Order: sequence, then C-alpha cells, then structure tokens
Amino acid sequence: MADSIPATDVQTIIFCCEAGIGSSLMGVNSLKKKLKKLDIKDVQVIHKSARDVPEDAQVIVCHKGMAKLVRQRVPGAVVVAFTHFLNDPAIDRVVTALENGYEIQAEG
Amino acid sequence: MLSSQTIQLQAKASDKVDAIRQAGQLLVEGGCVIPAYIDGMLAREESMSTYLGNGVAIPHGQFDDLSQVQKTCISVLQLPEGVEWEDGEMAYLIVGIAATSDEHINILSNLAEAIEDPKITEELTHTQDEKVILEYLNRPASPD
Repeated sequence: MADSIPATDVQTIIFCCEAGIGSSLMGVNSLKKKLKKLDIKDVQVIHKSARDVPEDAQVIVCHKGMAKLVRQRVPGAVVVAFTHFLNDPAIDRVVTALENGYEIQAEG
Repeated sequence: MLSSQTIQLQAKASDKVDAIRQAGQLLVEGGCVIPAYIDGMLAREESMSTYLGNGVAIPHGQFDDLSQVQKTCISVLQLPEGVEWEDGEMAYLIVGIAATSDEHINILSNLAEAIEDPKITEELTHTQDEKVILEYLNRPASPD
C-alpha cells in the first residue's frame, strides 16, 4: 500500500463509494468547490463506484467503511479515509497538501 | 428528476427503516424504481450509513441494485419531528436516490450547499410548501 504521494504529482483525485451515485458525488462537489476557491486548477476530481476505480489511481478518497476494500483492490493508490461526509478534517488535509505542495498521506 | 410527485412533506416515521421505506416508496410511485430497490436501500444502510450530517440522510441502493432503476430520480421525505438515524443523530430530511447516470449531480450539489446553512436547513425541514424544496434543489448549476 502506498503511504504518500507528493501533491505536485497528483493529477486526479477519485472519490469512491459503493454504488457511485450518492456519497461520492457529494464528496466530489465539496472538494471541487474547495479547490476552486484556492484556484487549484490542475487537479481533476472525479467519482467512481468502488468496482470501477482504475488500477493506476493515485489518490482515492472514500468513507472509512470502504477503505479496506479499496486498498485491497488498488494497492498502489494513496487511500484517504474519512468519517464524515461533510467537512471532514481528513479531506481538509488533502486540500492543505495540494495548496502547499506537501505530501498527501494515506490515513484512516 | 425531482418533482412534487416524489416529495412528501410533514411525514412521520417510526424509525430509520420506516423512513427509508417511505423514501423508497416515493421512488416506486414516481416510476423510478421497482419495489425490490427498497430492499437494496435497506441493505446499503445496514452496511454503511448514508447519514450526511446536519440532519440529512441520502439513502440509496447498492451497485448491484442499479439494474432496478428505471429512471434517475430523487425523492424527498420531510420529517419535521425527525427520526434517529445513528447514535443520537437525528435526520429530518431523507433524500432517496435512484440513479443510472450522473444526471442528478446538480441536485446533490444544491443539497450540499443548502444544508451548510442552518437557516435553509430549518426551512427545508419545516416548510409546508413543496415549491420551497423544489426551488432550492432544482436550481440550475452554477457555472464552474
């Protein structure tokens, strides 16, 4: 499992949930909005169902209840697990890393 | 996708399962899903809660249930008295989702934005006018 990735290498962040029709969409919206506010334009934010996550995914954000499954499926990705759909600090840490060019750390 | 047909105001639910069944039934009556989809909504909730925060939950089926979706729809079940969703967290607005594509992303985006504001959340959970719900959730997408 990947532990971290330099923010400057990240082109795409994938929000994933089981079905890909509910929670991951909410997450994508809120992250896009945060990045837009910071004028970060070179990172794409998309959503997928857990089954459709590509093997070469760089950063995957998912609910903590799905993290184990996602890590098994895509061992090379940095997986950031969150607890709350709205305003979770784990997601804010991803935003801060992107803003400042830090490493994005796997967590949760 | 969201019309007055799939909105139920001033509803009551005895518990979370009852609330999910009612939100699912609205989707059935709207011609959006076959009744079996409701079982999928309940199963999903068992495995992982769809409670968003701020009194709102978004129950929906699982990946394998999406074949039971006839058209992409959103239902809104308003519970002014609320129902306990998880560990003391009360849900007042139950937003059922049935989707085969991403057409509903704008409604969810509007929902996320609306419930960030406690005043709007209060309005959505107590209004007796379906138009208020429709107005907030069916807003056109803001330019990205």
